[in-house]
Amino acid sequence: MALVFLFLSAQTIPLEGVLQFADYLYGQQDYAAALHEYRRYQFLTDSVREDIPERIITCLIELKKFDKAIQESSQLLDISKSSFLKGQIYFLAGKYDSSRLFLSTVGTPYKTDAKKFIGLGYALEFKFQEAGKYIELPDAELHYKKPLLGALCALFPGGGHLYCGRTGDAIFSFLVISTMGLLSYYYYDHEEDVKFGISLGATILFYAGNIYGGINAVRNYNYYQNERHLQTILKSAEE
Amino acid sequence: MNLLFIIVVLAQPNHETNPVTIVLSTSLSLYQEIISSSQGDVCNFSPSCSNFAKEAISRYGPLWGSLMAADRLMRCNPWSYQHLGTYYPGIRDGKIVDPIENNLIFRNRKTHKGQK
Repeated sequence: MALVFLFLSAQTIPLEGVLQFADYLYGQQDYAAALHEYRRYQFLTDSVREDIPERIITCLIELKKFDKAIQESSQLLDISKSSFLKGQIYFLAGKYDSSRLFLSTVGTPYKTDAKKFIGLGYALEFKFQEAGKYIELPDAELHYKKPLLGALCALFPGGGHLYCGRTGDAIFSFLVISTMGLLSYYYYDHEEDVKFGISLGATILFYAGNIYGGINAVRNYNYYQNERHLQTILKSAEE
Repeated sequence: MNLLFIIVVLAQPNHETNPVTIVLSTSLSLYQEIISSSQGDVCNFSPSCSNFAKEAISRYGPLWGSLMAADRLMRCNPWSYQHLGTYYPGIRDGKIVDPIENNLIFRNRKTHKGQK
């Protein structure tokens, strides 16, 4: 009885209606529901509209189900398109190595876009030299600072911060460490051993922290140099 | 004394057993409970310097954690806000966002993995 009911209901479901509803949900960006409807349509019919697998992949990407999107794109008959989509999905998932693996194998008409994605992938990893081989980069001279030099400058309290242009931090570090040092000397001079031990410990800790800060400042300086350059690349890519 | 030590160990997150870590994080907790609570919310950063220190010590041990905390304390000054966008990513609830991950010198800072 149940089988008969299922058979009859399957016959009476208007397939075009399911598809139209799926398209509507897709248009409304309700990707979870759209995916459900597209799957239902796929299940009920053998002749699937050409763009439906792609829409399913888009839904899966929007839902951040990248692994399933990769599986889905493997079923596409057009190998070049399948590779391009896989490359795109890995790109969106932040797996740029895997993305490059697929994008480097695609043929026309996807080659130009694939090159763009490869270049952007390198740029997002801050590998600007490699990125320049695939996309046109805006002219900009990146001035990096050397962490070792930052550490050496920091041997003088605050020097590491000063090397990176952080004058306020440099002055504050110098004041903290020199005050601690003077305090240690004062307690040493007055033979107050416990206080001398505590203040000397604090001086050493802050001095070592200042060297750490010198290296940290350089690394952050270089990071934001890259970050700013990346933003200009992304802006020009958008244009 | 032993009982006190057991209580302090059990009170630590992840049941920390390194005595130096226990002493440091207990001191920081006491500072937060007694001094910081009466001072109010005065730190320039988010997470606050004491929370930063606690997390750094529990995640990277007393040596690296103390160095990171000392560096942070010296960066927490009236000029910190000048470096927004050049050294710090932004502001949240009036505080400079400066998570531990942005201050690790022994690990490469994450790039834009997984961003659209």
